[in-house]
Amino acid sequence: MKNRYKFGAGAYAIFALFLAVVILVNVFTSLIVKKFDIKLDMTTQKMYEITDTTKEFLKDYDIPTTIYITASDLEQSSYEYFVPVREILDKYAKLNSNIHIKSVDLSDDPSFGSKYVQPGQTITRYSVIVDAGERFKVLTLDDLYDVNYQQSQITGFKAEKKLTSTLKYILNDSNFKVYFITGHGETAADGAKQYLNDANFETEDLDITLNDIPEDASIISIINPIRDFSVGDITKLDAFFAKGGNGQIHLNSLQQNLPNLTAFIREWGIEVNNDVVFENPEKSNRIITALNNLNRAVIEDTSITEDINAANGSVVYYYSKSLNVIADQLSACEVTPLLSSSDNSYSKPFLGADTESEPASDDRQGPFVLSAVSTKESNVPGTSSSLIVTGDMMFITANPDEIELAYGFDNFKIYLNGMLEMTGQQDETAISSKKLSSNMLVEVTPSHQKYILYSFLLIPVIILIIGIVVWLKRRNA
Amino acid sequence: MKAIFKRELNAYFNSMLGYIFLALFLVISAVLFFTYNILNGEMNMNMFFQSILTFSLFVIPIITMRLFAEERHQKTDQLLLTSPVSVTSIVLGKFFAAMGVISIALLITAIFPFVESFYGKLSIAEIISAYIGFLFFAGSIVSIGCFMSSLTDSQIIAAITTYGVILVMLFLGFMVGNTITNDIAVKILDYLIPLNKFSDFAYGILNIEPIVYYLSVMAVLLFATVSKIESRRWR
Repeated sequence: MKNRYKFGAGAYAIFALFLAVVILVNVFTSLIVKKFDIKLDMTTQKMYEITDTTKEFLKDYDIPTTIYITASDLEQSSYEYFVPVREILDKYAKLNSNIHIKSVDLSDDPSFGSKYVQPGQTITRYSVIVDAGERFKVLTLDDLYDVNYQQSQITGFKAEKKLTSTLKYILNDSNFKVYFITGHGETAADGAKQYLNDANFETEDLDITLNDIPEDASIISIINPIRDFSVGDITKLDAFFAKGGNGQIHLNSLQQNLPNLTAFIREWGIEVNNDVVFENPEKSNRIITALNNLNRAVIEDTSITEDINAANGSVVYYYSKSLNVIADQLSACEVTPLLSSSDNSYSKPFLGADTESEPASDDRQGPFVLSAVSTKESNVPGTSSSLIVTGDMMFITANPDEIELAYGFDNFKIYLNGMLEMTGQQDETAISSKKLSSNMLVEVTPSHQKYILYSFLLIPVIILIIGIVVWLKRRNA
Repeated sequence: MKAIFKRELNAYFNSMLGYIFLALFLVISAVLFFTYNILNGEMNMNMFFQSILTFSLFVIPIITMRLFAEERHQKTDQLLLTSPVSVTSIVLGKFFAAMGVISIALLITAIFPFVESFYGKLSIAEIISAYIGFLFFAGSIVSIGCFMSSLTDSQIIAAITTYGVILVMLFLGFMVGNTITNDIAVKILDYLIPLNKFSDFAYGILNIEPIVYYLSVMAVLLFATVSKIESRRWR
């Protein structure tokens, strides 16, 4: 009877009980994993970790925010490029109870996301929509990875950088405003504006010949003016900087110096030469791309360029005006070079269309400063103003998609870093993209491939031979 | 349990079965690794592990089919069941022996990342994570095979039923997200398919959730195997 119970109906009851316990253990584990961060990141780049900067920021984040993912849970867990994104998103939700993650399957709800669509934008699968009611932002996978389209290679993972930046955008009622000065034939630089918008800066054009610089201006950006600034315009600039304003001026290397603007820049301890800097085409600083022949600038070690240097990045230019640092003559300014030309560069006087590009014996020899930042005390106690001057507008007038995404050059990054430093947002640069090391095997020649295949296939053959020998021995034993 | 483990492991390599399994596993994994990694110049072994996982579903039953079915067919199970060893020890001994054969196969495949290391920088921790995941996954499939083998005295039927369970799992896996879209059904089915729990390991995440899941699958099926064999004692 006892055995009948033990191995009969009772056995089924015990098995059912055991199954129930196992299911409970799994449910409990699942809850623990959802609540606490107990996963171990085994990746070399620590893809699934977030920085202390973000952790600190999340401690004070108090806006109820829902992050929608436009893909089913199954799609998220089976798409290798979304797995790290989801892991990072889950970390945000675990660290802050105001942040909630929701998955939306677009197959079930195709119209979802229509309220988030901006002009020229579509909500695609694997989009991440950060919605805090009044303010929201849509991020696509392209926003979360650094991609070098020329080499068809993903070079970095920047989900944390983008997400923290987006939450900061949501947190700030008003964002820093950059006015793009017009009225002197300046270049529109839509790419630069979009780049700043993506980094939560507001941008607007301002005709300084007609208007004063508004109170809400944090930074002014002057890109390739072809007519000189009037005395009145310069007075407006002086007033703006005296109140603690900041600015960036990007000149056109293939244009005569503008006397008033050049004199204004000189007041900042930076002298703009009326010349053109060329790199020696025979030397290694020349980069040949579909864009044109570009030259790699030498990136100086500064707080603005720190992350670019750390990532072994590149900043390129066609030609440039050279700059002289004359800060020692103007003790009120502190000037730091940001970019220089190489030792093989040479400079020629700018003669318009008659400017020769071939090296000659009377050329000035490089290196030359191509970009510099100058800082001086403003009239507002305890504050300072900064001005970045660059001798070549190409740094930011090219298409960011070509310059940054296709070729991986950091021209826009240095521009943005300058803006971030001027507005005291250095933390933004503290969260870097996680540089993904090359995933490619190198130098596997066809003959290597052949040897590798043969040696791999030899192993099972040897095992089978051993097996046959053992089998024959035992058979004959 | 140790004695059973040794006896079973020797049995694999005293017959051709262990060698055939190793050779088959290594040929398939070599071809997959060569295709995905060497020919494509790809350093990341993620695709290799995902593929070998699917192929292993079809080779693991080769070593599990004989575990109990053969004993029963040759009537040696009577001897085993009357020996002073608990049924749990017998089941665990056989289970770990099968896992031992799979571990030997995996150990030999370590030559693949070793070769890769000559051609680039290897992420060793990620690869170890994938190997750990594979062992847990294999454990769950071996436990399915164990249970199926305990139900019959025919190795062929044991293999066919194990393949049947695996094919149903694969079929359901295909249906989930394609034909079956109901949220609850998707979640339940997704949970029942061991294949779907491997992705964390492949992506370099050591997560306790799939580990507990795989251990649970093993525990339930080995418990069921023990119960099945115990039930024969009193019949």
